[in-house]
Amino acid sequence: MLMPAAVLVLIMLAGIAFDYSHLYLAKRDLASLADAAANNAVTYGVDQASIRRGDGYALDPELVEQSVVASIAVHSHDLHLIGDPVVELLTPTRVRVTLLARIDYVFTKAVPGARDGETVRVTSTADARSG
Amino acid sequence: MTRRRVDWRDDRGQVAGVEALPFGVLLFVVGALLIANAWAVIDAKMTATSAAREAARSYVEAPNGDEARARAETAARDAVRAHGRNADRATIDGPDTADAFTRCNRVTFAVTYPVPALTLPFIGGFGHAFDVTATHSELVDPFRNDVPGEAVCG
Repeated sequence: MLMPAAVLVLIMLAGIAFDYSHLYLAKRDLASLADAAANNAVTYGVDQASIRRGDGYALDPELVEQSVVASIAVHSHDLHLIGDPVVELLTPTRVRVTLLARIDYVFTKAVPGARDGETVRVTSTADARSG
Repeated sequence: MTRRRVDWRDDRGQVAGVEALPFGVLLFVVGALLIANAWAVIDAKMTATSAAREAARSYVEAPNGDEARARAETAARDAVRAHGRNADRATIDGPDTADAFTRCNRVTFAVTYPVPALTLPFIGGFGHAFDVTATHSELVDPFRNDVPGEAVCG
């Protein structure tokens, strides 16, 4: 019975490798979503009244929030986001977006006692600069 | 000298438990196929994700609305090719008209790639099981030159 047991172990290891790849892919997907949301927010969220007043380029927190929410709304349905995105205005021109998602394992959850998923957090920062 | 006839039905010389070997091989084949097929989905998803992102980025960075769609399509197919896949099998959905290329407009690209029903390592895939789709959206920059529309996003 050693041979089937060895093969089973091999397949379990392959399953773990698969699940980690799946986790990595989902994390990359989430990071890409956070990047796009932060990138959009620093242009969409500009306070035009501030520019007209002569106060320079500054972001409107409400517009920034609105932009991030709109970006997140069109995300891939495979990502199970936990809660709302955390949007921070670090400086008048810099935005930080933090997203939290739950990634379910495919094979590893079949192993008794093993975790059935992982919570992933990604953060992306965008800064508006004159080019 | 007496010659012994070989009796093929005799199980002398067999190691106890030899019958478990085919079971192990079967398990290996089924398991390897399962993992290979699951991996094909991950691989196709990676391709579609990259292609959708490239398409959306290329669209919003295009010099004008007439070229935007063509640039997005080219970028997406290049991304699919870069992953070693057949670019002709990818379906790219996004804005078709130049009207979408206006300031503050959100453009969303969806790239769909078919996953074969059976994937064999080194040989390739056969049949068609289902499609994987990835989407990516970007805003057309409100403050860029040569873009029609007003820069009023809110």
